[in-house]
Amino acid sequence: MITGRSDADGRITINIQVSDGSPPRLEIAAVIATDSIVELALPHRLITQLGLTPIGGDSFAVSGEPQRAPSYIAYVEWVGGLTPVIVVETPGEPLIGRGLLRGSFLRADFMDGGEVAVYGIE
Amino acid sequence: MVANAERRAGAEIYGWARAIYDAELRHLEAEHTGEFLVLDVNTGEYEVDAERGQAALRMLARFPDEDAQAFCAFRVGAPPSYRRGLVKGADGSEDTDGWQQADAIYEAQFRPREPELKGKFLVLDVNTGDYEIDERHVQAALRMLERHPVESERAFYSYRIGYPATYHFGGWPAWFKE
Repeated sequence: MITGRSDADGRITINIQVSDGSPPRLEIAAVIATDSIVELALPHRLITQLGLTPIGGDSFAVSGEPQRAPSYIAYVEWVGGLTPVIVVETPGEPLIGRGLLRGSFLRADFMDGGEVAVYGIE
Repeated sequence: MVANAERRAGAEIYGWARAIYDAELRHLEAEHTGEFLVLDVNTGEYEVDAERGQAALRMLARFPDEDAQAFCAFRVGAPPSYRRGLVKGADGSEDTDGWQQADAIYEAQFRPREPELKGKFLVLDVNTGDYEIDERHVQAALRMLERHPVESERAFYSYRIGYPATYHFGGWPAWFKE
């Protein structure tokens, strides 16, 4: 089970362990963004710190506007174990999208300090 | 064809193309959606053709002076820059040649297969033409990395087949219907 918290604005943040596939892992607080199909979005600073393997050129639309940026592979300690994911580089805070949530159950108390939990679906 | 455009500020020129398209060329969508459009942003002149390359050839014939050309190419109904643009390398350099090669391969090999492959992820190596397709982007990428382990020898580009970009934040553009 992965745990996290909701804040007064209803933002859900969970803590995940991320690595390049080998130790050490870095604990990252990531906001859940259910409107996006990305698996994980990280700023350049964290991608560099983790030493992630670049895949190459990728594209994404931000509020309908096209952008192009590199993507990477990372490994996340997720509900089913260590899971490889695509990381897209974005300038903002770390985000988890529906791509990573697929196959899991998300429970959140939408209140300041509310409990959040992500389970695997049996 | 777009070499001169790329010598100018790439993002800016596509912004102009988009403005011209939105203001003056949307009427083409009634009869030409999906066809190839080549637009000269200096003059507003354009050509449309269902066959890739034909519109560009006619524009080159009309505007042979390379220094006066500012061409943008895209499909009617899909605003410019979705299949053209810039990506910065680790050293801050901008990769336009790689995207052009990748886009050309996508248009020739995968655009016609969009009905059967829509929604799947494509990772394409423009150096070799090798590719992988999978419902999960990461699985396609991992198989490609296994076959092409040397970073300096690979040039991967990712697509979500049938979509204007691989991912989105805050919704797809209004013109795109999933």
